[in-house]
Amino acid sequence: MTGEFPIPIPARLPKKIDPCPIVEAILELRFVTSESWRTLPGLLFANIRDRYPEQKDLPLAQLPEEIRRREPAFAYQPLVQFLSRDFLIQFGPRVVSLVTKPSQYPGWPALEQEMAWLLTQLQKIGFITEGERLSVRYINFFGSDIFEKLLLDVITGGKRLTGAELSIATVLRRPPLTARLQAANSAILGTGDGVRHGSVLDVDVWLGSLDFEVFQDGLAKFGEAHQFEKQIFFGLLKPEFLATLGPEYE
Amino acid sequence: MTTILPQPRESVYQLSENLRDEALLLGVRPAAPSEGEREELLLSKLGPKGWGRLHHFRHYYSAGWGDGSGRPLSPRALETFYRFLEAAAFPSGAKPSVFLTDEGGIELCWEDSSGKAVQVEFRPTEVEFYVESQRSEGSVPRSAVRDLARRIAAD
Repeated sequence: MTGEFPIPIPARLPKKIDPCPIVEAILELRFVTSESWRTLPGLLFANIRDRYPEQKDLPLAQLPEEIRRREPAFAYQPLVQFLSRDFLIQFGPRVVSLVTKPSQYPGWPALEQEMAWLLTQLQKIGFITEGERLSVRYINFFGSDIFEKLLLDVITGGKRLTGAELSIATVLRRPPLTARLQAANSAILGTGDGVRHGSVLDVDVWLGSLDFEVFQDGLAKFGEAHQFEKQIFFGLLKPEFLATLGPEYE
Repeated sequence: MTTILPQPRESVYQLSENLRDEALLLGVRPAAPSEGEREELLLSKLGPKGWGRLHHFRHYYSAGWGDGSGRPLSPRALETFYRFLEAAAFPSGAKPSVFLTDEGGIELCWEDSSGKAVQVEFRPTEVEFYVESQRSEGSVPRSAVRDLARRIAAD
């Protein structure tokens, strides 16, 4: 993409909206290591068990390592989860991520603080040789058709496409940041005690390997990616829709 | 990939059935941004053999390859390598050879138009080079990799 950024960035961004549409926020770090995967979960768990006492294997962990390594789609998938009261940490041979509990977003300051703590633990353990990708992803859910409320239209034959089941994905760049935006008006959200039908606005923002130093400016870069994600999210909402969400500003 | 493999991770949401992409289950995955351009770049500059070797280095060489001490491919070295390739011009017919170094860097070797050796090694923070025809060798920071490519191409 070249030229002007296509989403209008609001002059000021709310610090909170209610009801909060965030169902999951994920801060992810992809990395390379010279350590064997066999030793890594134990190393990490030994350092985080006070805060994350529960450990759970994910389905992919059942596959033999050789098969996982041969399938590129699995390269950055987590194999283990560590759970605390407010967050979970997902961990794989080339990825570690901090994830909020479903529909319990605690706010950026709390998430950032937890990430700072996690980075400190990772630095102490010392298995990360190099960062490969740093990303911030927010998944938002709305009970109604989100396309009616976004400054985003799909046009066919000169007319706005309305009422149809619709899913779009696009990549937006503001170097060094890259964002993948997915919007869909027919999604199913698992809520633990059932499902909800509605729309998702899923924004994933990342930096590549040359644009961050994990243990030097990693936390600040997570902040920059979060800010960009927030600009995209609020930039897409029609002002009249935003007004219904009771935005609170600084 | 086959459909008998477990899904990598359960997502917090799913698209409705009509919007779901069956291609994902059939093993076709969407390309990462810029991946297509980079595949084209590799094929045009290094040929199918170079493309294939790099694919192997990226996906099948994990920590401990070789005699047990080989390091996995450095993402920074790889990114720097791509930037070099974008600016590089190789002699007609030359298909440079590409290697993974023990330290996880990438080494590129070819012969210039007079048949003299050129070697460039991409490391996480710098790029080392040797140009036989000029009897010159040295290193530059990764930020200067495009200039290095143009300089070598101009000789």
